[in-house]
Amino acid sequence: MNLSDLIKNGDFIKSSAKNYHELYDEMNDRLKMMNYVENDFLEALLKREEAYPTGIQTGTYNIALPHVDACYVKQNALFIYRLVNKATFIRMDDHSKTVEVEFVFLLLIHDLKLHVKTISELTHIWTNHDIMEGLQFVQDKSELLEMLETKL
Amino acid sequence: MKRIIIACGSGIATSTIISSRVTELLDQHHISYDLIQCSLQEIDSYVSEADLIITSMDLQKSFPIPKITAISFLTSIGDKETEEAILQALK
Repeated sequence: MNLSDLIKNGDFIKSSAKNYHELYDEMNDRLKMMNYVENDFLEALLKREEAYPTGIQTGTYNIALPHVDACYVKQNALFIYRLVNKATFIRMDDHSKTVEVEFVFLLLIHDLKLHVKTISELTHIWTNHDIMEGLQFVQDKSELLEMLETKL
Repeated sequence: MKRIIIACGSGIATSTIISSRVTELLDQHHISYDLIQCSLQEIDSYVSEADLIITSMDLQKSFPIPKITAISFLTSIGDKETEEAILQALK
């Protein structure tokens, strides 16, 4: 399974959520409807965010990388959310600081043997300026996959 | 042989990204190593037998061995400095 497969299983979504609580509610509704997650997914996601914040300052488009243990997840997938209003997250590497996040990468890992290479390749998305610029303009999953094909 | 703990919230996502960078770095410098990838809660159980902790996260706790925050391996900003710090810590 490679990065494109993860996105094919996932989606690209524009959200007007104003904070991570609104966003995680939205994620939970969608993922439950798809039968991708267990019933206690939302609780696990919020608990994780509070104990181990996920905001990352990248220099250009700041990101967040929410994540839960495999036991709450039924599928391997990557959902990329673009936050039209941006939302404040606490920084992963320094809990005394916050960051205004524009893109949220929700990585769902059910299969722990999912190739290390695939997870590592995730960084190629947000460290690539062309791709991050492109993410401002793509409208849906098929446009995202098309863009990644040419730029990754 | 250097034993290195690589930890994140779950021991799955960001620690996997960091592990692959550390593996590359240490191979390049012909340093032999044993990586222990785990969650932050599990650090305690490995710390007595390890030389270094590398993590993406604010640990909010101190340990008797050195620690390096390697968020730069996720962002690529300042990653060369982080590599240097890891090599120094293992000398």
